[in-house]
Order: sequence, then C-alpha cells, then structure tokens
Amino acid sequence: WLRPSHPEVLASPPSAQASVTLSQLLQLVQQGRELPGLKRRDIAATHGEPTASQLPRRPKPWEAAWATGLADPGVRGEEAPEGAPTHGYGSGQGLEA
Amino acid sequence: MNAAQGGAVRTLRVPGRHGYAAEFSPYLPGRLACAASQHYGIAGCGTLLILDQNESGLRIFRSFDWNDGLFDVTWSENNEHILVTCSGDGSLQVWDTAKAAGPLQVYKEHTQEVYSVDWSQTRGEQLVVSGSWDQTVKLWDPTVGKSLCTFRGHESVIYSTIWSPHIPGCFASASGDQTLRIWDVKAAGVRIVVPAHQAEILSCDWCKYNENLLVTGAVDCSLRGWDLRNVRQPVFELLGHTYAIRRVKFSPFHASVLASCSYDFTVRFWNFSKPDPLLETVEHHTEFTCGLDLSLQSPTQVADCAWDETIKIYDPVCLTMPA
Repeated sequence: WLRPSHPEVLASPPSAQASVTLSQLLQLVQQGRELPGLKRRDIAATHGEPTASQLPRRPKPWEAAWATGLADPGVRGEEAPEGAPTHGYGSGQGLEA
Repeated sequence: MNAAQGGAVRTLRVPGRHGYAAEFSPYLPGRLACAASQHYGIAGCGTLLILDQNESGLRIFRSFDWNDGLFDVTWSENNEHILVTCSGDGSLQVWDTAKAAGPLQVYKEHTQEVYSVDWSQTRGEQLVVSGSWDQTVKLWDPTVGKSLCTFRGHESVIYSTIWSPHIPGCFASASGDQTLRIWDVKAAGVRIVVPAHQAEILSCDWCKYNENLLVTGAVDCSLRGWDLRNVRQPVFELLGHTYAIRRVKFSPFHASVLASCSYDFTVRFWNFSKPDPLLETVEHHTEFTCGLDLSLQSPTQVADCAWDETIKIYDPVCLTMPA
C-alpha cells in the first residue's frame, strides 16, 4: 500500500510548517518504521439515494458569452473567441483594457 | 473582493492533510471541494473537504474520509450535491454533500492509483472519465456501477483526463509516456496522439474559447499550447517554472489566459498572446502546489492547495487590475 514516489518528491526541501516533513516521512518509510498518526479506515459505500437536485444548471461563462454574442473587451488578437462575457460575473474584466 | 483594494487571501489550514486537487462548485458561488491525502498520499487515508467562504475566511461545511489517499475531485454537472473523487486504491467514490456520511457508491475497476477524474462539460452528457496509473482511461455513467468503456493505448501512467468543453464525447489525456492524446467516445478510440514533450506530462486542459486549442504542463517545467489542426509543433511555449508543472488550467473568462501550479511551490498566471506572457508569480505556499482552480462565478477568484496543509482562495492582482 506504499506507493512509489515521483522523482520530484525526493528533491523536496524540508518544510517548517508541515506536521511531518516529506523528507522525514520518506526516511521513516525507507527504514520500515511506523508512520505517526497513520489512519486506517474501513469505510464502505452507503448505497443511499442521491439528494434530489433543486438548482438549475448554470451556463458556463463561455456558453453565456456565445449565447449573447457579446465581445470581451479583454480579449483581442488572433485567438479572440466568438464572444466572451461582459456582464453578470462582477467586475474585473479587461486584462488589456 | 479585489486584492488590490485590500482583499485578503483566505487560508484554511488542514493539519495532517496534503492537498491534491481543488475545484469550485459549478452551482454555488464560494463553495470549494478539496481532495486531500494523509502523509502526502504515500500512506494512510484520504479526505474530501467541502468548504464555504464567508467574510471572515474559509470554513469546513463537510469532511468525508476515505480508506486511501484522494488524488482528484470533480463536481456533478446535473446535481449540486454530488461529487466524484478518485483514490490510490484504484476506486472512484460518489459523494453527496447533503448527507453527513458517505460515499454513496464506490466503483473499483482500476488496478492501480486513479490520478484524475472529470465530469463532462458539454450539455446533454453526464459522463465521467478517470485516468489511472494502470495506463487505462475508463468511462463512467455515475448512476451505473460498471464502467461503460476502457480506453487503452498510453504506455505509462496517466496523470490527467479532461473533457472538451465544446466537442461532445471528446476528452484529452496526459501521460508519463510523454504524449497528449485526444479520444472520441463514439469511436471508442484515440483520435490524435501528440508527442508533446520529451518528459512526463502531468497535466492538460482545453481552451474555453477555441475548441482546437489545448495546453500541456510537464516535468520539463514548460507549458505548451497545441492546435489540434496541426500538432507538429506547439503554438506557444511558456517558460518560468523551475520544477515540474503539476496542474494547468485555462481561464473560464479569457481566451488567452491560463494558470499553472508547480513542484516549485508557485502558482503562475500567463497570457500566451502577449510578448511577455508571464503575468504574475504567486509564492504563498511552502510545499508542492498540486491543486488549482479558477472560479466560474468570479473572473478574478482563484483557489489552490498544497502539501503545506493549506487551501487558499484569493484574487491575484493580474486578474483584478488592468495591465
């Protein structure tokens, strides 16, 4: 149940904040020692019915843009979309404004 | 809500849990799911956290434990209560945020770690794809206990599987075999194989405003853009990260803006259409930053999570200030 670590993992510098640093943990694993606070669970599916949805699907920002056909002032150039949102999602538009 | 006007970073510290993925709810503004693992996902249990943000910060609405580390999470697109996670034990879990106990269902078919899970984005389809270290992608109807289809072809572990936001039945996968692959559910096979990097590819995503454009993020520290009409060479390359790129996502609001997070602890924001594409480098984590999402409700809001046991929601200056 121990999984091989990604190469980058081994390059991790120690962290001052984490409860057990990654390098400490890997050392414990390599030494075959017990890991502190290791949680062993035995959770199984409840097979309950999903709670019924009460909210309609919200259009994605790109769907709203295409539906209204409005242009986004923040997007220019070759990759400009057919349209992009200019309303309904608050302020903060205009990366290039 | 504007960082430049003093909007604070909201931080939640989750002792003993290392964040792997963060995803905003497509329904509820300010609700965030975080898939996390004990002991960096190397040993122990996993936890799915459902968070709500308020004026004072982030609070935990629900916390669900699973037997093994959780590596990715995706929200349902037809029920605001439902999410799917994937786990180190090869299983997928279906969760209901309205219930205190879970999961509702567990689907175990993958034979190794499941590293990615994604719910379809196009209307009229409610399908989930999962990508695993067993080198297969599986297609699921979450109401059915068995996978609908298994896609083979990758020659190494799969790190990322993402549905096209525009083309029904089409998804992309990124793998340790250094390829990006585009798959067609109806043809039950691969459409395009892109040898995108000479390194493991840990992440990929689709542009929301150009159905032919994808981005890949790899262990070689580069992000590359790919136009599916001609994949012989990338249409852009973004350099700046100093360790492997763990996750990349296009903006839901801007055609040429994207965000990436890395083993170099940073989150970077880019505009590939600019001569100087790096917009901002956020350095607020002290460990590998693995989870990243851009809000669907607020054009300025971003969430990330890292192995420093923190989850953060913030408004990066580059998204709040005109350049």
